[in-house]
Amino acid sequence: MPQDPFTIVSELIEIDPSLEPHRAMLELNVRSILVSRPDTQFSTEFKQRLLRELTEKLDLVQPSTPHSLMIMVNKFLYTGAGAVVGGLLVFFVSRNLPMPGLTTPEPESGKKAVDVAVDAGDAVQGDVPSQPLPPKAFGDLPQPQAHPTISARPQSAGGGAGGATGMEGMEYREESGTDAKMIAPVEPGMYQPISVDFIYKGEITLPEDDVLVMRREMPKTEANASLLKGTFASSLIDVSKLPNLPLQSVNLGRTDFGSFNVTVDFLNGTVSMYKNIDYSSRPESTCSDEACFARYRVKMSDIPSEKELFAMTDKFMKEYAIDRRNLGEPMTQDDWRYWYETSTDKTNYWFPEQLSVIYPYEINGKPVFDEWGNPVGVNVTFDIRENGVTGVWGLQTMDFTSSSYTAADDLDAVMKVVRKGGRNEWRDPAAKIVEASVKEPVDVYVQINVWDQKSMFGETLYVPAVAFPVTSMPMEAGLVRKYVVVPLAKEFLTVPQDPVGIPRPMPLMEGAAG
Amino acid sequence: MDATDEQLVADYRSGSSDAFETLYERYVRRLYDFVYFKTHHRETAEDIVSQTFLQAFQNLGTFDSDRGVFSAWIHRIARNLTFDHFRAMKLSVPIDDAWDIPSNADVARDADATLKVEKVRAYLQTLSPDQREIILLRLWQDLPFKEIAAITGKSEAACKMAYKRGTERLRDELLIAFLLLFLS
Repeated sequence: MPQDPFTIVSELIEIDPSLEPHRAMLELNVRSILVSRPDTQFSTEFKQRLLRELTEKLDLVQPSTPHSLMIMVNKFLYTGAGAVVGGLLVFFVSRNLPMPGLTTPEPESGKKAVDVAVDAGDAVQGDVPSQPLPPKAFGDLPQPQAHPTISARPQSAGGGAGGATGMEGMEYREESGTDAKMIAPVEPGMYQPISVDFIYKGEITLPEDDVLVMRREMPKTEANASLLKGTFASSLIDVSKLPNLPLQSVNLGRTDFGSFNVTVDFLNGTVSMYKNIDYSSRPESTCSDEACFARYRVKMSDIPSEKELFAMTDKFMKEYAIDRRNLGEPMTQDDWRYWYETSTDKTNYWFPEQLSVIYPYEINGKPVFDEWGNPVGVNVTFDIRENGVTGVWGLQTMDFTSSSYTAADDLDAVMKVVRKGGRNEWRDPAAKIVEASVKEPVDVYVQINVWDQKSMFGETLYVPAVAFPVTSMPMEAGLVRKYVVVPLAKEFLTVPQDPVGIPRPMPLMEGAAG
Repeated sequence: MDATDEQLVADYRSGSSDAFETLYERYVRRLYDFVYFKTHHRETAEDIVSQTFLQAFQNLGTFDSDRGVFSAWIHRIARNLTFDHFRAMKLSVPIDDAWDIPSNADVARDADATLKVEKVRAYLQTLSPDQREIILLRLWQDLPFKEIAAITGKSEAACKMAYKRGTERLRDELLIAFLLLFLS
């Protein structure tokens, strides 16, 4: 992978600052695209052969003499069997792909987490199953992963600078496992990284009993290769000779603009839809300079109010009979407002063309958040230029099993996670610390994806948690954060010893490590 | 300082074979990757790149540096030859590149490339060919926008806008669940 997802996403955010709150998701997706780059099989033999051929041919003609082109012969049409076999390969291999970087849950009693029997009667929609699985049935909960999004600006922008001494940040320096001698001192003109301490002055009541951790169960589908009966595929290969091939996904759609496409993922139990948009017919498609683009870009007055926005997305949800039983009230991802309000050059601010409305998942009547304080749920994309909904993502089955885990009982550990902004937050040991405030928490669930290295399958856990609304954030932090989320299962509160996760450049100055 | 493409073209027109070799070295891999990401097939890519160089240098007299840069010109030839390649197949739906090949079409693609791109195919298929080209030039060919602008014949601002629009979906949906994230 030649490129760093962080750099790519930073560049993207530079183009559109409203994408900043989506950094984590963007980095994961950019990484996925980067690693999906196929080997082009470029060979030196081809390069040398073509050079010889061209030299030979071009020696015979004057550069400006027109010649008839060689007729391209499509030599590469094969029978459909190749494509079918390729598809089958995709299936087999995709079931066995490793995913390093996530810890392996070690189930109790020697059982793999995914081996725990799932009775259909135990899986219920959006509510606690009546009969939980045995305690710790999902194995040990994963250790925290360091995640640097709390650092407000990319380290690469100025390079691992630091040198702050004293202060409360010291405790994190010790936790990070980073040798202070490796930190290059700040030089005049260098970027000073900033980290945020989230200050909570109220009371916290920790659970008295164990907490019930939920695991999302994937749907079981009966659909299989018999779907191919009567289609062209069944005349090319008898897939019934390959046993137990379940249906993985279905894509439905047309190619005309304005129509919706639907993707149904049977493995992950999700449905998404998106609209075909004809960007090429938009007037700015012929623009060749910034001034031209500026004429067509979205203005503040084009952006609907929250009330209008929700009315339109609600109407869309109703029109397509999207199940809202396990979804909460809509929320907007309106971080762009902060960036606009704090922008020094408002006339050149690029407003987003699309607005995200989140209908958060609800479990036992409590909303679901991710570990970085964002609501998690069905994401409806409203396109201002199209004046309508253009995509829906995150529709998923809400069937769970549950298992009890020891509740967090160490108030200091909880407070430490609050102060840090979350259990995964990693901070530059040399960062300047600024303080934000949070207020009384609300009960939520936090969605955490884990990976079972033994079974080679991922799982999604929903862990009882508290979310502290952020009430003030210093401008200096350059960060939008609405909640700090702290899981209430004891195992999640372990302090990371060494930051891992998406790597960040940490330039060393010569001799600094010595 | 390296000679510009346009200077090398002028040198070639004056009879310099070195200029040709320099241009060849500069573009052969880039064009090959460019075509491969549209065809997903090694032999097809080699065939089209061969045609591209031949056509470009046989018709170099028609290249006018006042109307555009050499990079855009030669990439346009490669792009058009790729279109021609897919048009010649007379598929049920006219397509510009392998990303839009209907699932039931008999078109040769390298199995390992098909496998590698499978998890991002659905996303890339949602993009217009222009957006897809710009995103892949940026992410898979690691080219800066200045060069992408030169290749596509658009302004840098237009390329950034298409790139931004093409990547908007990436903020909302995890492309690959979490089955394949760290394959590398």
